[in-house]
Amino acid sequence: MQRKVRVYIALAVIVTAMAFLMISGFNTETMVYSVTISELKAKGDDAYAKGYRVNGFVDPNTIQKSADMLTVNFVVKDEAENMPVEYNGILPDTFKPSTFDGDIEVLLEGKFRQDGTFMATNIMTKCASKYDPAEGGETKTYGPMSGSMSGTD
Amino acid sequence: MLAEYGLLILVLALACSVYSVVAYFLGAQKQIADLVHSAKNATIASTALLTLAILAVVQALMANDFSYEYVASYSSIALPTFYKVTSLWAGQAGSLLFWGWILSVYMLLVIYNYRNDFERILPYGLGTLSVVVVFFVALVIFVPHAQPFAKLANAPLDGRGLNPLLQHPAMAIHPPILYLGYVGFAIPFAFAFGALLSGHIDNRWVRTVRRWTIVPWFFLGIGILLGGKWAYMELGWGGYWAWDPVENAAFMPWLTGTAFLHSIMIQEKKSMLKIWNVVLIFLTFILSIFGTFLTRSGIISSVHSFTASGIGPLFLSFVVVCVVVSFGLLYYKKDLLKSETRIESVVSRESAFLINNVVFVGACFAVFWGTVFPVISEAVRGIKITVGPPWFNSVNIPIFLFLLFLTGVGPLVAWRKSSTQYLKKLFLKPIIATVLTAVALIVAGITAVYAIISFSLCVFVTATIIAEFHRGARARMKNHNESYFSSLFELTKKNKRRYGGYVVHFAIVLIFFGVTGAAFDTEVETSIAKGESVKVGRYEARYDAFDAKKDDHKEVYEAKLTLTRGGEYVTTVNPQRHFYLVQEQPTTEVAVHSTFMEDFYVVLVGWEDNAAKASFHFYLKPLVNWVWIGGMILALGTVITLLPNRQELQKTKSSEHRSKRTKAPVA
Repeated sequence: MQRKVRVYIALAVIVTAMAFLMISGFNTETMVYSVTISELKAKGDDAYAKGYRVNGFVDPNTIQKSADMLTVNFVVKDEAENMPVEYNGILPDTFKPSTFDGDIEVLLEGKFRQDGTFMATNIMTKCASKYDPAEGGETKTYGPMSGSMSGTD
Repeated sequence: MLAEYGLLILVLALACSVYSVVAYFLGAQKQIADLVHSAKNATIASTALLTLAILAVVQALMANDFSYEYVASYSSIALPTFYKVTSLWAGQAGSLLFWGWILSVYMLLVIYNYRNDFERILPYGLGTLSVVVVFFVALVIFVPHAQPFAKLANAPLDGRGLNPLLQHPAMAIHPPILYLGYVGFAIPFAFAFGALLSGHIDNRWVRTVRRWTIVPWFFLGIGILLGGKWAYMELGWGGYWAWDPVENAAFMPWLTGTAFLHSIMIQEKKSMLKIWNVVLIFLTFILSIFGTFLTRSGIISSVHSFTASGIGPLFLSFVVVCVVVSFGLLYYKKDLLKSETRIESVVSRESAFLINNVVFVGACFAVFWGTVFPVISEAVRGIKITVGPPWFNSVNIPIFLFLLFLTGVGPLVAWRKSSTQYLKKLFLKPIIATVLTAVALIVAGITAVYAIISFSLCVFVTATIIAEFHRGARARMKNHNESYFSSLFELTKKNKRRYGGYVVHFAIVLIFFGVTGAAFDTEVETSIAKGESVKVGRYEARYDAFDAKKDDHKEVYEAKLTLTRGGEYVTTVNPQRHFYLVQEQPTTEVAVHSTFMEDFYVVLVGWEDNAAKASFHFYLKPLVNWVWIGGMILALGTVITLLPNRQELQKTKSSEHRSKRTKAPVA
């Protein structure tokens, strides 16, 4: 009987450790809140501390690239608001105007900066007009994905 | 055109499947052999019809018949023939049909393999599988956008083509292999249902279920690795795993399946954990269905596409039905599954397996929780919160390192109880090797704690595996008067399950080794002019030339770089960007210089001034290759465990005779 208890104690310790890992994993470093642009702007100081995910549309005319093509600035908008965005990295292959309307639907992940610019660390594009939503329609990236077509032609 | 009759074919297949469900269950319950026999014929007919339906889709794809919505959405005239065929599983409708077809083919294999066997269990099991077939065939008949033979009012002149990102050999074969895994878990599920419903569980059932779990487990594992390879080569972000919902969807049933493959051994040897094993079988299959649901419904990445896609709610209902029915049945029949022995010590193989199981299921739960958390959080609190790779890594790295540790300990501790003396003899040398590795790594200046632990544990597990082979071979040499190597070989041959299992463990060690390399990744993102060089770790890359080409369906831009190390020429690498004309989409074609030590990985980002200047993203990724090598060893080890043992064959034969002799009518 005592031995059985010992096995249970060992299991209880392991389960507790895993539960602890899962709970302590939820912190401001790992959690990303999904908000609209106006919600983000209304957050005050809280907006600068946490990671956020914002859904919106990018007007291709606002896209500006730095000389080395590694920093991109653009304006993201939704029905109510708009917000400047800065992104260091490679844009996804699908970051381009969709076939039917001129705007690029994007999901941005990153942090809000004091000057009102959103510093995006991840850009995910949606191009539901082209493919099934579930099949490559949304291209998800962690770490920068591949880049923009510019150049010779 | 076969496709003209596509819908008719599917309706007939549905009719056959529905009939077989009724006939299997009725025949099983009333013990009417003829009824079961006719149900089997209905299964054969429905499989033939589904095969015909698959051929019809392929024929329509090959014939560029864009009057079909599916063909117009996933193929185009310029698409190479090979990818036209693979378009079968590029979209929702084709995937679902393909899923149902694979299940039917699995059913035929089961019917053929056990034609004179498991007379009580099989009708219930096949009936269960037929229900799943009915679900999938009904989906492709009735749900809009899931119908492979839906017609367009106006046929376009050309199709939209296959997403260029999917035009890659690994991606072409990744879905079928993954499906062989997902779908295959239906077989142990069905055997469990059959056993519970008929009340027959014996050791032969255990062995059969184990084999039928290894096969899909193997395909799922290889499918996951192929998916990683594809992401690595095609997505151009320098990684192969991102804890994406779709990846997690495949990983979860693999984890519970792995847990099951371990704990089933306890049931076989000690008649313990019977209920737990059935729970794991159920979980594995339900997670497979859930995984298909995650992949096909897009619920996690966006709640909006959930409501838009018709199959989401249906799939979720099916998952719920599976959970309720299977666990309800288990509760109702739990008396069938009483354990016969008890665990006697913390330091025994039983408890090592028990701990292994708890950790595997815990890891699976962690992945599940992180994956569905956004949906739950939104539903319960109205706040949509997602957790990305940082969360998954912080939770899972310690868990998996602990699993790696168990990989070394588990197989060596004896059943029942291990004495301290015995343990000392067994683990002294591996522990010395482990400590030496850790010390060497620290002295070498490595500061990443997890990496030190991981590498040391890799050495630990490898040492224990080598010791096992060595001990076995030495013992054989003495008894059989053979050379060392032939006794190694004979040893493995005599006990394929055990030593094949060690080979699989070694493969897992290699995968850990490769994944740990990620702790030492180097990245450089920069823009350089022609003739200029950039330093990346020990390498230097010089931008030499630029080239633009065009063929029928894409434009190809290519940069040429020369790679040197310490002033010495290594190789040239040519990262490309393709621009697909039909889809108006660019894709990245990374260039990789791959060695056993590291991968030099280059992405062409962009260019200006007639390509006088170009931007690149360089990655130096140590040890990545070992992940893929581990995958190959995994395949080898699995094949070894699956090869039939001579004794086992004889045993099966004799027990077959026995079961025939003792086949008594059961009331």
